[in-house]
Amino acid sequence: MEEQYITFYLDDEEYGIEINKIREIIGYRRFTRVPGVKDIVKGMVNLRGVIFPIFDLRLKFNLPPKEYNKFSVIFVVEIAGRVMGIIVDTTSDVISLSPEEILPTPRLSPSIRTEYIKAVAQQGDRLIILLDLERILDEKELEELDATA
Amino acid sequence: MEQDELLQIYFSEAEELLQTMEHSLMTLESEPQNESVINEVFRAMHTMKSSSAMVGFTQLSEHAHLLENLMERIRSKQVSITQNLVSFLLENHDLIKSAVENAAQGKPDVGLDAFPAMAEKVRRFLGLAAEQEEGRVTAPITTSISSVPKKSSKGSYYEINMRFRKDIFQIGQDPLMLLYELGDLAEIISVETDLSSLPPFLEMDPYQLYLTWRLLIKTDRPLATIEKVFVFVQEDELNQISIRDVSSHFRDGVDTRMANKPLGEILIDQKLVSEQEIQEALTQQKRVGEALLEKGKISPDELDKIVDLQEKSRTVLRKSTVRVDTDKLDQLANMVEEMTIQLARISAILGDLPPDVTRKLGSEPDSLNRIGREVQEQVMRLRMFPIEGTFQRFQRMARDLAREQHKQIKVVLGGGDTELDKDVIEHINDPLTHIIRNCIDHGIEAPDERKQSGKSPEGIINLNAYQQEGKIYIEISDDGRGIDAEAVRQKAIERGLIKESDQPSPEEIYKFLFIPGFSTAKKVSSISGRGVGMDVVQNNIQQLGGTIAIFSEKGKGTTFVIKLPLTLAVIDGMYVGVGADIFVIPLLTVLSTAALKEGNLKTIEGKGEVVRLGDSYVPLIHLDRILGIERRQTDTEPLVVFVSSEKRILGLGVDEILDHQQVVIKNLEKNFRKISGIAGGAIMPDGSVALVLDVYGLDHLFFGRNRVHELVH
Repeated sequence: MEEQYITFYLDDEEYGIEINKIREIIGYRRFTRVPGVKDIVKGMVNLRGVIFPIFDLRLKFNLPPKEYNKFSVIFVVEIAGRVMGIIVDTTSDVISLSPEEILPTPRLSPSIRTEYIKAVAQQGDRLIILLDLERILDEKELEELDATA
Repeated sequence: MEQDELLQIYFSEAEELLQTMEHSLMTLESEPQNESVINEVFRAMHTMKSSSAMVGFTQLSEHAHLLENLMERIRSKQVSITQNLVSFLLENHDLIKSAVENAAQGKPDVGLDAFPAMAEKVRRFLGLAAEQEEGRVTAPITTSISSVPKKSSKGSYYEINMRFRKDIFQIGQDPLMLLYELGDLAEIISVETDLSSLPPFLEMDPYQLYLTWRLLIKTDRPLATIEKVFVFVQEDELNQISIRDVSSHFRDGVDTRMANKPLGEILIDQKLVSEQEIQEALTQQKRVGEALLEKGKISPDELDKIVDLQEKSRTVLRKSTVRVDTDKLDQLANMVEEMTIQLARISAILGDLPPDVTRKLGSEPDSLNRIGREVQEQVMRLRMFPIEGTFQRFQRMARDLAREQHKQIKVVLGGGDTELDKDVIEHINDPLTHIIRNCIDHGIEAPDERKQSGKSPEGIINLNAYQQEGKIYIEISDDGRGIDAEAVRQKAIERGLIKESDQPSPEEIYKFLFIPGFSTAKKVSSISGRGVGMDVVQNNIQQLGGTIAIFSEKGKGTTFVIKLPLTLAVIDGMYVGVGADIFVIPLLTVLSTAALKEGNLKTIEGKGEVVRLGDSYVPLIHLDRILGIERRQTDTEPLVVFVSSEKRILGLGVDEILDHQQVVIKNLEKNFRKISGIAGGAIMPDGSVALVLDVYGLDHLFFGRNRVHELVH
């Protein structure tokens, strides 16, 4: 059974998120910074009266920060009843992956955190890192975000 | 609070309760062992009983009380559930439902003849003899039946004198309803209204009843039926109702006494009062005036028609309010908010168009914006209600209960204008009712007992609401006897919850009160003390995402603190700029603003800063520092906003003060989490988010890691 993913880039790396996890994709908009939270939380935005936080996964994956530009895109997702935004460099496209194309997460060096990675997919030359959204932004993570605690 | 409003609340509540009841009973039919469903029916009956009593529908309340007893038996497994029992309970549900519907149409529930028979059946289920419980209601009827002199086909004439307590309207009774009731049972030959105790117009309290009536009716129904009309008002000794058989004065339907005193004369008598006064009286009591005019000129058929019409219009009036899913309201509110933001953006774009185009547009964009704002305001108002109405409801309840228990109780309200989400208001009523009942039943002592312990004979219940730390707080406190922690502990031991040797702290002990079925009340009163109580209260509050805590001191009183999330609240906010960011300070906390000049500033031990406010110095919190924001590099002088954080006055250092405006606070926890010092987010006119500062939280944030306050004080 094929599954559809939306892929996006962070620097040169291509990542994928299951398409049914994504509520909406919106353009970059100004964030309101929130005091006392970790850097991964870029701030709060309003979308049709709903206020939600924006996360920058670059910081989660230890990639260097980058200025946002007109290509920056926000994926609006809903995890455990919470609406959240993930800001990425650019969307790439929507791909269908067959089970054969999805490979188990390879063993990486211990310094790389793999718990957010569900699997890796290979399509021709492309290597797509499939993310486990629930893990990336689960409640424990949110608590950890509290830098003041 | 208007009686109407009270009734509206009651009717919507009753509708819901009846729905719950029906649904649960249906479930019970297929799952007779389901205890949670049994409890649900029990609670619905319990609430039905108390709400009905509160609005004065005594018969309904009494019936619900009986059913509650029955449910109690079922709950304690003394009566087992059979198909027959469920059908019977459904029958009772239907009866109550029709009574409520009748009441909604303005007929008093008194008219429902089916109740006594049904009550009889309930008692049979309960295994009680009829006299055991309701002798009070049945006794006067039986005695009066024996005193009915005759039932001639011509009918008897009765003279009825009615004098009601002055505040009858506030109890939810209306003498006019009794008149209508009588009109259905008998031919009303005359109504004399005594206006003599009517005060001058300016001194008149429209909620008071100044009138008394004398009626002459003709009927072929037994006296008992007529007496039944007054059953509920007669219970109250402040109401004086006398019914006299005056048939002997009548010959061929003519009142012989009228020979000396014709009916018209009474009216003329009344005209001896100045015409202006009569005019005013008539405008105040218009319906009574109409009744006066109709007297004798209208047949019972025609009267029926008018009553019918009124009933219909009442039904229509009631149906014109609709209950809407709050989710829909939320969506609507969000969409409208977004619409006004889009409108503002369009206006900005339009402003950049060439003059010839803008000229063509004229004032159209402006009016569109104005309409947008108005729509937004209206939508906002749909959701938010001040808690005052709910509070006042309890003032009424407390007064009645106090009277019933011969206690003196004053209810002091505070923070009634605190606006709460509709959802919260709807659901907070039940728990508050229970808590306040608790205060009255178990908290406040009888006047004598209070005097003995050196207190004023009048007990005080404080109801207070306020907003703090991004939460709504509701506090209910009484100055009564407090909770006897030892008695609770003993009960807990009795129930096997703790061991004899255990010595839990008072806080832990009070928590036992939230355990289902836990009650220390010594007797079962009609009000509370059944163990349906604090567990339900806690349940309801938790469902709202809130918490409840009990604080008590033996002999001094008890305080219940309910903390509720701020799902949607409107506040007046002051926009301030700090660095590149904009924050909203709740205007309620703002005392004043000033320039932050060198001369006003002092440092303590080279670290803590204080700023002068009048004759004293208050701690200064630089918002940029505490919130970790880079200050703006400008020539503008920094400013200070003095705020009150409940604990103390603080100076907040900001870069600029922008504007004040009403803002909707949205909580950030819904999609994110609580942020120290921030009450929530508000949406700015350009669609971006501004954070609303929580002054109390800032105080905590600041003093939590700074000891400057000890140096200041």
